[in-house]
Amino acid sequence: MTAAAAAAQPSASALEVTGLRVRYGGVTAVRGASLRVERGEVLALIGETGSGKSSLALAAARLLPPSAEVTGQIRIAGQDLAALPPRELRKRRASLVGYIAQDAMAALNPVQPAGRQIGELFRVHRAMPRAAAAAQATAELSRVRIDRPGLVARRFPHQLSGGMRQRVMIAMAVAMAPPLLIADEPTTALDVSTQAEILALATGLREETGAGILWITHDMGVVAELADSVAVMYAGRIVEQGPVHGLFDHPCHPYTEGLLRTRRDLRAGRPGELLYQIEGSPPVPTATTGQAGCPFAPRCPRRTQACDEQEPALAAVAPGRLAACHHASVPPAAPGTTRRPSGAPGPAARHGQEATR
Amino acid sequence: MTATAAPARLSQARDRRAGHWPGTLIAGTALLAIFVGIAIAAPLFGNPLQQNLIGGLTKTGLPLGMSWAHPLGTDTLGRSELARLAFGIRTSVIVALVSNLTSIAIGAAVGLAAGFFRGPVEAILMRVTDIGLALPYTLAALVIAGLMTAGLTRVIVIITALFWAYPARLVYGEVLRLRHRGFVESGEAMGASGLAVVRRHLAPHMLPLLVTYSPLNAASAVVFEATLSYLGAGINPPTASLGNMISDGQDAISYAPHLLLVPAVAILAITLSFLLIGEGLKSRNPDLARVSWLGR
Amino acid sequence: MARTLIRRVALGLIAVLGVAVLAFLAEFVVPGDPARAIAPRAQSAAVLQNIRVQLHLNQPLIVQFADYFASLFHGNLGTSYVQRQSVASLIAPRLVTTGWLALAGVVAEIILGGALGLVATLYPRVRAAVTAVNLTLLALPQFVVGLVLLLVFGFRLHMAPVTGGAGPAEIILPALTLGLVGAPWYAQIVADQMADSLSSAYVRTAVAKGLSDRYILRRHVLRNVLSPALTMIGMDLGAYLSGVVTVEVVFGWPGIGLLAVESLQNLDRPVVMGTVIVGAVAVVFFNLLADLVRMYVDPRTREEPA
Repeated sequence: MTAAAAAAQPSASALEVTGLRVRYGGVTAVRGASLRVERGEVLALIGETGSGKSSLALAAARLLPPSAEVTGQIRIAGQDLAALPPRELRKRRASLVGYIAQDAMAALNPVQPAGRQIGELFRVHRAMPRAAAAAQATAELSRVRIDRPGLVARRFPHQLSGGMRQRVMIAMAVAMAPPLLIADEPTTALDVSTQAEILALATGLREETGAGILWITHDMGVVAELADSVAVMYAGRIVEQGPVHGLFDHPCHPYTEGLLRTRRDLRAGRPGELLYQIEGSPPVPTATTGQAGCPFAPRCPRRTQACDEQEPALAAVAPGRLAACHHASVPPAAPGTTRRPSGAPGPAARHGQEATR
Repeated sequence: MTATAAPARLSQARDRRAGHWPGTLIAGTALLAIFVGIAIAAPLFGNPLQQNLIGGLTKTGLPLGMSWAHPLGTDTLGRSELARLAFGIRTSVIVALVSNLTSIAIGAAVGLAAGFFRGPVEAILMRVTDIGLALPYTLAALVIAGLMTAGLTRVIVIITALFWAYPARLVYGEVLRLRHRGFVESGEAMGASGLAVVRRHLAPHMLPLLVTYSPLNAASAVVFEATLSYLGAGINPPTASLGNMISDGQDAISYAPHLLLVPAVAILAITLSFLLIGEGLKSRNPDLARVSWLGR
Repeated sequence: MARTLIRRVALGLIAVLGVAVLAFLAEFVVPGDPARAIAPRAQSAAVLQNIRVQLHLNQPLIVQFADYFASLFHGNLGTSYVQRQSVASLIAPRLVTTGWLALAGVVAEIILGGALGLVATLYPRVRAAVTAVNLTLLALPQFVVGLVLLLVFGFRLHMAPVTGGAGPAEIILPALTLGLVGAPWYAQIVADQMADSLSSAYVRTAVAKGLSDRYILRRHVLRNVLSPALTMIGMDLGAYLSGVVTVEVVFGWPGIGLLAVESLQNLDRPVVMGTVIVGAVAVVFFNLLADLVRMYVDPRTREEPA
């Protein structure tokens, strides 16, 4: 056992992804993405369909089938899961990362009652007897704000509502108190009021457990409500990353700007006005492999020749703000953030350093 | 490099491989073409009815094995096994094609009517289909067989009568599914007449399903005809059928196994050709993989 | 759930009744004089007429119909023309004999088919070979498989008895025949269901929960495989009990199928009709039983979809 298998350091980030590349046969879904989620922080990962965000999430949770080629480094609470022998991995994964799937109906075992599926964790990993595990499972259910946990525990997934199922999934994910939660669009299929409840639940859990949450979504509204920081993904790479308020107020990358503008128009536009739309459509994952230049260039209002020749790297544009663009807008300096004693790098600068490696 | 999400075997199985088309489809069609060719050219292989008790049997009265004069040997009455085989193949091919068509036609009509008209029509038709499905196969066949004279017609009637219930249920289920998706309602809302809705909205969906189902149906028909003829409830000797060739030679199989094996291989090959075509069609359209090897 | 069950039972009863009606009607289409069949050597017309009266054959159709159904409800299937026994008493012991064969056959096909399906799923490299085996088995009629087995193991290798009889030694070959012929169906179900399960999201969840392969197979995957397999088992038992005619004929197994064939040859119509009806009842009954078990195993099937 090397140092890699040693216990995770309590001060380490919940999730640290470096240079992640995911390929399925000929299709490269993720082309060198890096990000970091701190404990107690919610990082929202936005992107359109095909941007590679689900692949990134699955890769981070180590849930891709072995036919997928995954390169790069993934550390959860300082622990590199790739370094663990399979048996060790199996024993510890539930207490390292909880994965919340998008479609709870498909992700839950249809022939087992909800409580039993949660209790399974305790029976297998903590050797709890059946009754104790059942009681603990019911406790987990009430932790996710389910009103009558005993009743719900006995129900089968198809007998529960969508929101209820999602809560069961969440309960399963947090049951072993992992430092990292990965949620893949958990509210996309829910109606708006249920979505609001789940978001509130997530915020509450984040405070209770101190876990870091990687929340995948394509809905900017969810981001605004829930996230502390945001990462924007396009064509398999992270193109912008920063704290939520700063990013919403002053996006650096033209894609982010486009997204925000669409949203703004939807909400505040006047009747009769044309809604803003980013021209063109996102590239299909197969098309981007091997092409030079920035993948967003065909749709970008700031496009120049440099954009077609060289793909921009993700770099610090301002303290705590990263963007992959040759013509990134620089946000105005917020008072206080630039005044740093010269010797001490703040967490924002560390972000920046990681990204340019 | 990478850590696997699950140990190798389990997760390899998680990656489904694509089916093998067009290999099976081509092989099946080629094989079927050969048999259809033999069926058409059957008389060229000799006379299946001509007994030859002197030249066609050994000194002790046993069937002859393979030789140049009789490429596949002779049967217990000295008849050329090759000729009988060719005519038996012809029978099987005819049965497969004709009874396949009739059983699917009736079944599809029933299923469509039941699913489209709903109400009492549906109830009656579905109950009749249930009865059709509850019938003990071979027994019912034997009973019907007792009512008719031996021959090709009898076989086709029996097979049609026993096989129609499966495509009926299949089609019925599909119509219901399509109803659920709103095809019928939207057609009617546009003012289309009943028949037009059926023709333009339902039929196009039904066709691929039936096309994929029919090879399997045909395969079952071939097997069933052989079984019926073997039991004496299908085509009786002296007319040659792969099934009755086997029953004829059954008593002699311990010392003349070719009487069993030659027709058996033929049955296997014809049925296999249909099955391969069915597999090929299925793997071309993964949607239709729902249609499993139905049609016992 | 109760409502679904009641509905199924009612439908099953209707099906059986329908078969009974058909059987009754067939009686009237069949050529031949039952009186003569009973007393083939009778000389006097009066004797034959007497028999007809006894059998109510001179009554109007409706009355005969009513009689027929009345006796059916009492479990009376009539009397054999040829043997001086009630049809029911003839059928009963043969039904039991067929029952043993049916059971053995189902066990054989589950084992063979399940093994094939499992192998195809867990060892993808041999999947093509397994498919080839499946197709070949599907393409062979029961009697061919039986005869080949008889030839190889009975006559050539002398490993199994070749004459009729109903003991444990004699059941091997016919059961094996049924097993081989039925295996591809189970193989396909097992392989399909396992492939579906293994690539499903809930197995991924199970992996995320840190459960071992074997545990996942046992606890999560197999149960989902059971559901359609049970339906098939029900269908099979029903089908076999209604007369595995071909296999019984090939091996001389004294079951209900062989009885039906013999009776047909003897023109002993009541027995034939009796076997058909008993067969229909068996099919319906076991399908229902399979439904029940399946509802227990797979809670999703407990309510009929609207």
